[in-house]
Amino acid sequence: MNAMPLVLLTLPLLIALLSILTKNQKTLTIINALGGVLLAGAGLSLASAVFRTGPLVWLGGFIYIDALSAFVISIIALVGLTSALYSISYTGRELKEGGIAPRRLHWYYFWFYIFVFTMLAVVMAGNLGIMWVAIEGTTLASALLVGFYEQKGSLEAAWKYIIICTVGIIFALFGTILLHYAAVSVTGEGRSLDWPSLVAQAGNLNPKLLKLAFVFALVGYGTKVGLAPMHTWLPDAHSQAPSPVSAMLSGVLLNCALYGILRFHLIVSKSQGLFSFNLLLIFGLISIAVALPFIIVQHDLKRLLAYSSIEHMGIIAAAIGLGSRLALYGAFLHMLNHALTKSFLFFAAGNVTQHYHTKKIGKIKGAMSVMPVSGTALFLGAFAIGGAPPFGIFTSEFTILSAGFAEGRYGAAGLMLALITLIFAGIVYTAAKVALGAPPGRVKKTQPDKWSLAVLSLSLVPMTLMGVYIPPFVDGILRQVVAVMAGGN
Amino acid sequence: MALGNYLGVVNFLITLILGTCFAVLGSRRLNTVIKLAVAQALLLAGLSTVLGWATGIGEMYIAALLTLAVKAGVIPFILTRVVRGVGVSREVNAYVSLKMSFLIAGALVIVSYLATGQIVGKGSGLVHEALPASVAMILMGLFVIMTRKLAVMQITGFLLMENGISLAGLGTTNGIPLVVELGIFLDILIGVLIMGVLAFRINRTFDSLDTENLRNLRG
Repeated sequence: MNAMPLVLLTLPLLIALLSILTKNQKTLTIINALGGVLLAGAGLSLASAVFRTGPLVWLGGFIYIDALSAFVISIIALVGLTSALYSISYTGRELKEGGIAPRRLHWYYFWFYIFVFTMLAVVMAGNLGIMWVAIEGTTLASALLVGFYEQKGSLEAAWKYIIICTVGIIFALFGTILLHYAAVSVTGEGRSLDWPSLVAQAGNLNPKLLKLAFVFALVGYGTKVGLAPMHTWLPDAHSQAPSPVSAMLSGVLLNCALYGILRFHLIVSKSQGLFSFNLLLIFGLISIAVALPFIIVQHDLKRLLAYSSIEHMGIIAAAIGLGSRLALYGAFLHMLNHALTKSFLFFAAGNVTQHYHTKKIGKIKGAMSVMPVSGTALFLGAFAIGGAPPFGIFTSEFTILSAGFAEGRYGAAGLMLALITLIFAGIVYTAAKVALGAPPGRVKKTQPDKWSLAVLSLSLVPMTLMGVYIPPFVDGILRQVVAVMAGGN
Repeated sequence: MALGNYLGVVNFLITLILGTCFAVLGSRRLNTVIKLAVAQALLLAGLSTVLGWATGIGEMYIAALLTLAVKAGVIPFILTRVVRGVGVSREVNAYVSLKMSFLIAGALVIVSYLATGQIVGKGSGLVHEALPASVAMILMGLFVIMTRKLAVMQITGFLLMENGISLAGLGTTNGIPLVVELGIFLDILIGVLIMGVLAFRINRTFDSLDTENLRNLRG
């Protein structure tokens, strides 16, 4: 059992190393497919071990995995696998059409798995300093993936991404240092950034410093989560990156960054009452509201999905800000649903934009008749992400909203409901423009390759199932995560 | 603690570090800016050593060595390579004039001292002056990133911010745990390396290092 975290951390590094050593496309495909499956297996089995036997502490507290970490590990494992498999299909077409030079393909896989490694490190770190190092690592590992095409747009996106996120995250480091300052006299030199001991001592820390540390962490890590008004890098990076990377950024990375805020929130909320809850609620609502106009008037298909990610991270943050057990349950169910649905949408949109050779919404028409599978997936996915039944997002949004109303927070819940409804209309309207109608003559009818087909169905099943029936084991896991959030350890 | 005898030296070093920030704001030549970054790193390493000597904490010496190697050695080397590789030696125009930059930077320092005075009471922390100075450095670094157009200047702004964080870590809490410190140094090093690679590619694609070109993605 103790070797499992080590296996999970070395596996992506090993795959990255193997990828960089070969240039052969076939070999890379095999390494990536096998490696992706192994990695997902390792991640899920570690997570299930934690769900069964409780928190895992290792390496003198440097590695600490509780139900909350295990939950995010499962998301990394699932979406990591589908994105890795979809990469085969996506890069295959790019190679054929000259979008990616064959000699650069191994760099793609190298950074992809380094990126996965850094995200795993974020959620496995038991020390807030190490967690900061890992979150900054995620930016560095993904910056060159965002700029992978080396065209004007992608380089602009990559530069904004690395500068804005690095600056943001420096504020989070300042917050971490303030927390360290507050803790060092209480917990002692060695334990001063260890998360479990900080939670245990939360009541004894200087309240002013604690609040200030949380504000800095919220602004800093919030930049990476894409909380408005620090979200400006997100639509650029998520739309310019290769689509499998967009799926990882939207579906997984944002959750890892939010996880960073949650660790601070858990410390601060223990002694400072509603302070951090209210901040999360306010930033969450602002994010949903800011996303709305950009979704309504959007002209770029992938930017539309990126703004929708800002909306959904806002919903999750606001739900955690509401704070009741039901709202927390909805928040984490929503995290899982959003990860599955958004990655599914980016896969479908990736196929469509590749086939039409454009991301402009006005130039894509009749996707359903030209691409029966990917076009239909895009259309269904739009309903799913907007929150229509019978998809999972409907269930989680419904849970969050009813929790809000049950708490008597009519203003917040009502505002959220109104915004979500408007955004739903905007997304479905755009998706209908893209999916329906007569396709332009230049675009030929096509069928997806086996990798795309596999990946799309792999994501569609759980994201639909969760809307009609939450399996008992998922329910049990969510209850454990809620217990961590409500109990503090 | 025996720190009292050294407080004069420590505060003098902190003042000099702040001085290098102002000098960065006042220079347009990229080579000068890189030299100033080296000077700042040397001062920071010196401060680490003095604090290590005064408090007897061995980790401070390691921090000093790392600062020397990474911030005064490898990073300036990378930046010099970038500047030479792209063949740009000075910034022609900035968003804000020199005079205005100095005025704003002065205001930032005053604000930092006033704001941190509210938060931490007198006599708390290892070195009382370190926290306000570090906040001022973080703000000045941010100011550089926001008002300078050349990619290399923005990397330097990031370094100023990071040095501000190091100062806060040194001054308030006897330094952060060594493993974390190592990780942070690794991040900065790889970060500057990747920013350098991106700067090269931007220069190759746009024929310029000017980030003015990087404003086409909107909406």
